Amino acid sequence: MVLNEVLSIIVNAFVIPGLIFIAITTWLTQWFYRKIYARMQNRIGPRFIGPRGILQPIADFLKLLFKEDITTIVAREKEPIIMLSLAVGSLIALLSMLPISPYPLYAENDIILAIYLTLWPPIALILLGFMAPNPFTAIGTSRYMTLLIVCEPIWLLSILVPVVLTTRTGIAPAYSLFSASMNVASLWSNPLAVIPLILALYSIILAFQCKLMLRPFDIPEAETEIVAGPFTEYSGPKLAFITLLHDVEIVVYSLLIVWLFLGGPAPFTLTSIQGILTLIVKYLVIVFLVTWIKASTARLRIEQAVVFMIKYVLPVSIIAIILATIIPI
Amino acid sequence: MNVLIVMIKLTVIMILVALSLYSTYIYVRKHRGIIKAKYKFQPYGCGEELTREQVSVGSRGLYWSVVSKVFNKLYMILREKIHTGVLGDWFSLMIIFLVVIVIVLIALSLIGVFG
Repeated sequence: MVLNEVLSIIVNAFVIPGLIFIAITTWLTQWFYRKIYARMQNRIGPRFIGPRGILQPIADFLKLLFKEDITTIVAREKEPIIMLSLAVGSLIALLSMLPISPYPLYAENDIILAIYLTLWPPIALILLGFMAPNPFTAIGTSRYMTLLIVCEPIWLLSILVPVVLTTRTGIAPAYSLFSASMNVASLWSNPLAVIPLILALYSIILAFQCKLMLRPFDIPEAETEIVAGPFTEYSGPKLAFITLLHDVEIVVYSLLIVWLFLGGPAPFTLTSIQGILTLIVKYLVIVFLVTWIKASTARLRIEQAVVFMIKYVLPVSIIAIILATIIPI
Repeated sequence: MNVLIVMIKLTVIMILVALSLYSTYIYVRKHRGIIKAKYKFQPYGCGEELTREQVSVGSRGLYWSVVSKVFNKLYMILREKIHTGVLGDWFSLMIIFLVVIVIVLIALSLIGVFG
């Protein structure tokens, strides 16, 4: 019994959905979105390292990892890496709560734990800005906190919509990320449940874009304006870990959206070939959508971004959660 | 499964992953020296030299920038109403704020949000 528990933790931490799985998925996802992002801008994208440049993300990561680790006289030395490592750990722990894990961890009301885990990366990035003081990092961090004030409530409300809907159908455990992910597909056949799901999907994709500082919300790290925002003072292995966290966030949040809103491999099961292919296609569609928005928009100013989110996204997520609580299921 | 057990397991997973990433960093750092140069360790200032005092930003600029930039009208109203120098003004607004929170919480509990 104890051995089984230890095995489940080790598999979750290091194999699936642990470090090995996340390393491979992050590598392939980064190659995919760099390639399609380049095509959207009429460029070729990664080309030289590996067939069709597929090994370019690994080469970039290793190059940064083995560069000099420079810490300025006013910055913290090892704390940024501790925070970044914990943030990546939190995202892998979040994946362990989804049905993608062979030993999924779930309980009643575990959605609170899931939301808590998604808060680690923003907190890590804010602290990263404070740990290397500089006028540019301060401006970038301040902008990032400003964005988070509006995007975190939207993110929270959107995640709650499928969870509330599946709980209202009487499926146990209640308010669980796992049970919501397993049963949300059946809700798409209910015309009344579809409305809050679509509204929440719209909100979460824009909150995703905002949370990850992707264009048009790349205001905190606005290149050519404030150098690199919170990451101005970071280079070498620290920058490698920052890019790793950013890419892991893209992978984990895309998988979260695929499972929580689109039902993962539904209408098939994850143990079948069709199921795995369906999951991959849905995942790539989400990554494509995010990249498309990034490629086809220009950077907003901070007040424009906040007003946009308050006017056009926050009310939608509030309506979605209200509908999810009152519509007959 | 109990939610507390899940929380403990998730924390263990998180720490295991963090430890393995941190040890990778320590390994890399150990096998890569740093060529010491004077300007490499100075804060970046686009060619200008920054002192220790200049690199930090005041809390007003950092935490209140969202309110002063985005909700400028609200910020000005609050500043005029609260920042009068009279303790009673500040205290009465805090009481109003507290009452609003209590009313919202009562309303939420009445519609059954807290179960």
